[in-house]
Amino acid sequence: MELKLEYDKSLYGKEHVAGPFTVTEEMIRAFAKATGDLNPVYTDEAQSKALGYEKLVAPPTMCTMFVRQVKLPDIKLNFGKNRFHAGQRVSVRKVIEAGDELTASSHLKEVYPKTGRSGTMVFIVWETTFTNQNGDVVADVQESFATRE
Amino acid sequence: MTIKYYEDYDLGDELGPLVIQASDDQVVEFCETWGNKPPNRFTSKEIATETGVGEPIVPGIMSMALVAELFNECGGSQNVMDIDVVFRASVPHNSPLYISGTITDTREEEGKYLLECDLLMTDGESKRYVIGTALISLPSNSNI
Repeated sequence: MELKLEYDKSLYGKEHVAGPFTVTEEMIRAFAKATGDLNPVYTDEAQSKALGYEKLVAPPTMCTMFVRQVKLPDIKLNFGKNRFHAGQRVSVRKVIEAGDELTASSHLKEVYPKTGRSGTMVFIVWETTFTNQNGDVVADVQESFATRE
Repeated sequence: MTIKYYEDYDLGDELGPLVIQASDDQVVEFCETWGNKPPNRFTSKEIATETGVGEPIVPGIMSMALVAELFNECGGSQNVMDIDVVFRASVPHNSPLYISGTITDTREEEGKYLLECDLLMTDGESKRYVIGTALISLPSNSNI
């Protein structure tokens, strides 16, 4: 039997914006320390400059921390109870450096069911685009959340 | 950090394993940096139990950052252009995490020298915590 998903489809095409968020050296160093990342590019500005960057470089996935700052609406899905983080994708367009001011803009990308051995799950995918102070897109982040029957 | 070149790698080359752990303190520190103030389901057994997770787990966004560290052996994870992961199982605190990769494609595209890679984080045995793919851009020694 085909699953008839009901949710707020009017959310398609709507952008939910947050920020700007200032990327600080302290934040970059704290992220690297918490993740045990020993890459000196994230802790020593001289190392970042040696690679041709102007300032301390942020790890490629650090922008994901800002995604949760966007207030996303309930899509009012008529399926499942427990929702969990199923996956994530980061596409880097430009390296983020200390001092960057990032604005996040999120929209509902897709909602789709998938049936496997453990039953049916529905995936909700949000896409967030990060733009810096110069209007350059620096990263796209896709987050998938799954809900079970 | 040693500079690695595109030509240093070939199809089928293995990366890692990088064996690391996420300690309780690291997860707390990560949540504080993230702005998800502890205690929360990632740091407190009581809250984790209430929310049905059972044990405090490593946040997904932190697991992704751990996986990206694999590329520090390829000249640095700042070379990552795209990383796409699926969380297959909850990642525990204080347990060895084995992160490895396999080069699945090498190509030159629009002046960039790219490596495509399959990614895996396991417990060192049969449990798969995270699977995924990544695309990294490396310098070419033909440009030296």
